[in-house]
Formats: sequence, structure tokens, C-alpha cells
Amino acid sequence: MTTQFLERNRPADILRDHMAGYGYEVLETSVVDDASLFLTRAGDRIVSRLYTFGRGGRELALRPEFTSQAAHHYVHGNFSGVQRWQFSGQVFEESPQSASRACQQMSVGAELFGLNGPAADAEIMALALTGLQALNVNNWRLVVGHIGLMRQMLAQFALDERTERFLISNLRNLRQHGIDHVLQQFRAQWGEVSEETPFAPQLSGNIGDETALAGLLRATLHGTAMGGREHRDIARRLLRKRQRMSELGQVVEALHMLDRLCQLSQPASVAFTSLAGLTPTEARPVLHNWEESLALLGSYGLSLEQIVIQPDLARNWDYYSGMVFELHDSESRHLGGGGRYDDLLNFMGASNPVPAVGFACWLEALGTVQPGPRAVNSFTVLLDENNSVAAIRLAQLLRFNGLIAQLADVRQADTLVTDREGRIRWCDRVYSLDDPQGLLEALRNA
Amino acid sequence: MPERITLALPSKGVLADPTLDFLRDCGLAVHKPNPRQYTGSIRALPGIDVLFQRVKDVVAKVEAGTVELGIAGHDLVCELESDDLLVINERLGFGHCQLQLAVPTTWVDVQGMADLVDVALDFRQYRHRNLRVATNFSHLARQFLNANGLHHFSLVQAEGAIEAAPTLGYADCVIDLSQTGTTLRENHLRPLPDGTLLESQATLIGNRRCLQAMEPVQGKLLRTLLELMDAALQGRERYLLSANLAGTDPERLARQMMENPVTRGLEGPTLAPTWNEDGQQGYAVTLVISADQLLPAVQYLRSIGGRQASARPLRHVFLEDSPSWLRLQQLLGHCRQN
Repeated sequence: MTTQFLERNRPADILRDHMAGYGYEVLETSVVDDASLFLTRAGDRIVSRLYTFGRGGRELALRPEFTSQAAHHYVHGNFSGVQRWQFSGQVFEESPQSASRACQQMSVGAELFGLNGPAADAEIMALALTGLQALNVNNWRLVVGHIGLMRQMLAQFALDERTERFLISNLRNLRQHGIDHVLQQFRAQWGEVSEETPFAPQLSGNIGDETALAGLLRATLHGTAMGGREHRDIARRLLRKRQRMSELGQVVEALHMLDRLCQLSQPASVAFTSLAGLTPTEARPVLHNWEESLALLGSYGLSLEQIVIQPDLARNWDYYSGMVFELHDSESRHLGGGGRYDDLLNFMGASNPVPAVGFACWLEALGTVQPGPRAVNSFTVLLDENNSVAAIRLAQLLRFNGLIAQLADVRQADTLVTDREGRIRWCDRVYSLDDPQGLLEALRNA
Repeated sequence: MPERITLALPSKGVLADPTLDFLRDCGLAVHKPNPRQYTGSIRALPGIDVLFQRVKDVVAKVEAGTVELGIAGHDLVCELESDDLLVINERLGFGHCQLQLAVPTTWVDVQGMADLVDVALDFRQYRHRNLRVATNFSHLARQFLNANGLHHFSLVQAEGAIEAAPTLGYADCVIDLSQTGTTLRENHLRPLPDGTLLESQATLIGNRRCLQAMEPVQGKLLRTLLELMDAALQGRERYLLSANLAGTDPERLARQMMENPVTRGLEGPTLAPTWNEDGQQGYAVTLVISADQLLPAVQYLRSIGGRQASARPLRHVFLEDSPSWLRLQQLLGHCRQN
């Protein structure tokens, strides 16, 4: 058990030191927080997997990630300018499909607030990738998409905001089942006003919006149970529904564009040429910044050959607004991910725009990764009833000198053994507790 | 006392009287010496103690293992979803109802769950709050709403009068049990066509651990109880059909009846020779048939020479073994392998 504990936490220690080297301060967040904080921009899949519960009239949740808390801390802790924060700890999410039914996992990551542009995006991606390399994961694969670019490309179709959200959240369906399937889903979800719909006549034909609205208002006035909606809400939604279906032509065009985008999963070296052909002029600056951020990864000594562009990559959190990425190993295991989320801090109450980008990786996913040799040597000191004082003194001496010492009552070949006279035996040599320099040097070189 | 079994029954509510009627029909009439007492007995099975509880408590007590058996609505059993609860017979044939999602009738724009998903997004976007769903079935409600793509909602717990919540203004819609839909209609609510969470009726439940640890005496008691319940349930669904058939070849008549599933009976027909006033030979046939096949069976018998026919409802039909007992053995056996 102890071994597992140490092994599991070692990668976290290594990553913490690694990120400290880039100037990222450790941020501690609470395990339990207001559910609404996580629900602000959670994707649908996440919402259904949150662990929520009520206490004293508050709806609380176990944290499923760190980003929302970090963003909230930035806004309400009166921070400004550039802030670099790192975090590590358990995150909680129900995962019924997981073989182990694990509901919590160790997550490590970082957030960079207040810095925009390709350099900031590159810094976060590089921080994640060089972190993996520090854990001896050199066969990483970086899959990158861009929600912002996709939104810009969808803008040309002038779709209803909810239709746009529907299309983005159905990208996986589009890739797996094709355009007709998604279109069918769209019709099912916001289907045309059917003949069975009450007041269908008011909604059909060439009737003008205002006339329809007035008719609907009259038609719905006799009910008493409104359940928090007003007659106007209902009438407006019916009209919006009709409006949405009138956009069906644009939806089909948008789906064809997204379909072409979905098929563009290519290495970074060639993808941007193909992407340029699909990108409307007004979205070119976004594409250019994206390309530049990936090019900067070369300056960090990272191999661009290991980067794949997947323009339709959509992550599970609704707050992403720009570049998004996922980290995989050569066996396609998902190790983590992140991206840019410039709007989230405004949703949290920030009065000015605050650019933000971050990543997180899961240590369980890195479970089989072998970290490099230990940075600090660890030794065992024999503890028995004849020498407990000397053994404890020796262990403390090692600890004060930056080494790890454990007391054990079983002797092994490399165990340090003390006696009452203050002699220390280790690896067939004898040292003195009163003059430990020779021993410490030998241990450090071990 | 390890040689006895306790059966918990609903003390009040819609299931209370039908449960006693059902047990009486099974030949297991419950004797309650004093209407204010919470205990009773079954004279036909003296080893069984009866405990009257609120229906929610019936499920809770069986789940906790305080009592071995209970009768409660399937809805409550699904809501609790406990590994310790075994459903021994999920169709006792009474207490039918549906757990349904219903919206105010004024919501003419909401024709199905997809519309409700959109309305939930409207609530977040324009009113900055979640759609509020009043229900006592929070577990089932959450599962159902999530499965339908509705993720942003708040469940409002309320004891009783759930249907009034939208009118009173503390919920937007409800998920509640409905037998005929009258209460929903009276409260200006309308169930959504794809908003049925489950069809429920009374079920016989048991505690897994208690039943696994049963003494042989208790096992025998339980088997008798299940035999009688199964026999009554099988009887409800069947008629004993007798008819006179013209003909002289019993094998041919038997074959003709066996050819048609509705006149096959449980294990084929019983034929007995008859002679009418004119001295013509015929056969009287006796069959156990499914209640919903009565008319097709009579019509078919006519087509092969049937004349008069009479049918009687059956009170008990004992099959080769009790299906509920076999099912229980399977459930407990499966558990042991785990």
C-alpha cells in the first residue's frame, strides 16, 4: 500500500517541481464547492457525472476539475495581470464505463491568466509536453483543435446560437455516423411544428410573426399552471422553433462544412495548407495565430512530428473558446488535455476580458509510466531494541542532510546498522556517528 | 425467531386494500385482530407474521433486512435500487400506475422531451436558473432526464401534492405517479408522450441476505407462499373451457386442437366420449385456456365441430413448479456465485 502511495505521488512531485521551474505557483482549492461554479459552463456529459449533494440549502459538488475554481479565485480574489498557477489533487467524476468504476483520480495541471496570443498557448502546451517528458513519456502525441476557429467558420451560416451549440456538441456523431444522422437528430430535437401541436394553424402558412404571437397569446391565456414561464415565453419559443426550422438549409450547409473539417485529421506540417482552403477571409488571423503557436513549440525543443491537427476536436467543457488539445501516448491512451477559455472569467463576474489558457493531466492514466531515477536517495536504518536511540539519531542526521531515511526492523543487504558505540555499518564499511561526513558523502554518491 | 418469516404490507394508501384482496384471493387471508395494531397473521400459513407499514417503510424495512418479505410498488423498488432488494415477483397484477413527466397544459410549445431540453436551456439563458422538477423520485428522475439529454435542472423534493407545485409556483414541471391521469388533468398538467419513466404495479420483494440465510423451515414456508401466489396469478389469466364436439375419432379431434395454439391447453385437451339423445357419439373436451383467447378458442372449436361451450374462471392453477420460487432460486444461486 505504501509503495503504491509513493509511486502514485512521485509523478505529481516531479510535475510540481517541473512547473515551478516555469514560474507556476501552487494553488490549493477545496474539494467541495458550490455546484453552480462547476455547472457554469460544463458540457452536458460532465453535468450528468458530477457528484452533487445539498447541505443547508446550498447545492454542493465534489470538484470535477480545477479550472472553474481557479478562474473564480482570480476574479474574486482581486488578481490582475498575468498569473501562473499550478494545482494537483483528487478530482471526482462518475465514470460508469470505467472498468475500475473509479470515481476519483489524481489530476495535475496549470492555468495561465492574463496572457493572450500564440506565445501563451505555446507555453501551456509546452509545459504539459515537457512535463510528460520529465516523466519519461517521450512517445507523446499532441492532438490539437480550435473551437474559436470553428465558431468563426460557422458564423458565415448565421445560425441560432443554440443550433451552433448543437452542431459543435454533435461533432463526434458527425464523424461516426455522417450528416444524415445528425440532421435527423436535429429534426428530432427541434422538429418542425407538427399537426398535433396545439395551435398549429397559428404557426403555419404565411402568417406574420406579430399576428402569430398575438394569436398564441390569446390561445394560451386560459391556463393557470404556468410553472415559472409567462405566456409570452411560450409564444416566443414557438416562433423561435419555427424560425430554427426555417434555417434548415443553412444547417445542412454548415454540416457539410463541418464534415469536410472532420476529415482533416492530419500532421501539423501539412494540415494548415488544407485548412487555409476552408477558412473564410475573416477567420484567417485566427488560423494564423494557431499555426504560429504550434510553430513556437519547436523553440521548446519539442518535435512537431508528434502533433496532429484535428480541427473538430471538442472537449467536454463548454468554456473553451480557442485552441483545444489532448495529450495521448503512442498507444492512444488519453493522458490529459486543455485549451483556451477566454470567456469563462467574464461568466464568473470579471468586468474586463481576461485571457486564460490551461491544461490538466490524470496521473492514473500515467500509472504504467516509469518515472526516471529518484531525485533523492532513500535509505533504511535498522531499528531494534538495543540501538533505537542511535538509529533514530542516524535517521534524523540523514534527513537533515536532504536524504530520505526510514526505520525498519528487518535487515537487508543495504540497511544501515548502528550500535551503542555510535558505529555505523553500511556496505561492508564502518563509519562513525560523531564524524558522519564520510558516510554522507558515500550515501550521496550511492 | 429463525423458523418464522415476516411479511410487510402497506398499511394505508392506494395499495393497502388491493394487497389484502390479493392475498385473500391467493387463499392467504390476513387476519388483523385490531385495526389499530400494526401486526397480523395468515391463518393458512401460521409461520408467517404480517407487519403493516407505510409503503415506503415496507421497502426500507425489507432493504434493511428487518423483515424478510414485503409487498410494495415497483416504482419505489426501482427508486431505491439496492443490491439487497430482490424482486421475487414484479407483477402481482394490481396497483398499476405510471411514473410520468408532466408539464403545464399551457406549455403548448412542449410536445416531447426534446422540447423540454430546449426549454431548460431557455430557463438558464433568460431566467438564469435551472428548470425545476418537483418529484419524490429523485434517483429515477435524474437518470431519466440525463438519458434524455436534459442536464441542467434542479429537483424539488415535496411530500404529497406534487401535482400542485407548478400552480403554486415552486416547480416548473413534475415527475409523479399517475393511475388514470385525472389528478394531473385537474392540476392543469399534461404528461409528455415520451415522458414515461416506468410502468409500475405491486411487487413482492425480499431481502437478499435474509433469504440466503433462511432455515429449511422458512424455505418451506416461503415456497408455499409463492406457490399459492403463483397459482392465483396463473388462475386469474385462465379459463376452464368445456365444449361438446361432434365426431367419432378422438385422435383426429385431439390433433386438430393441438394444431391451434389457442386450443392446446396447458398440456393438450382432455376428451371424454358422449352420446346425445339420438344416440350419436361425440366428445366432451376440457381445456385450460388463456383468458384473452376465450373467443378465438370457442370459434375454433366451432370450426372443428364444436357445439355448446361453457367457460369458468379459475381461482388457482398450479404449474409443474412455482415460477416465482424457481426465479428466486436462480437469483440467490447467482448471488452465491458472486
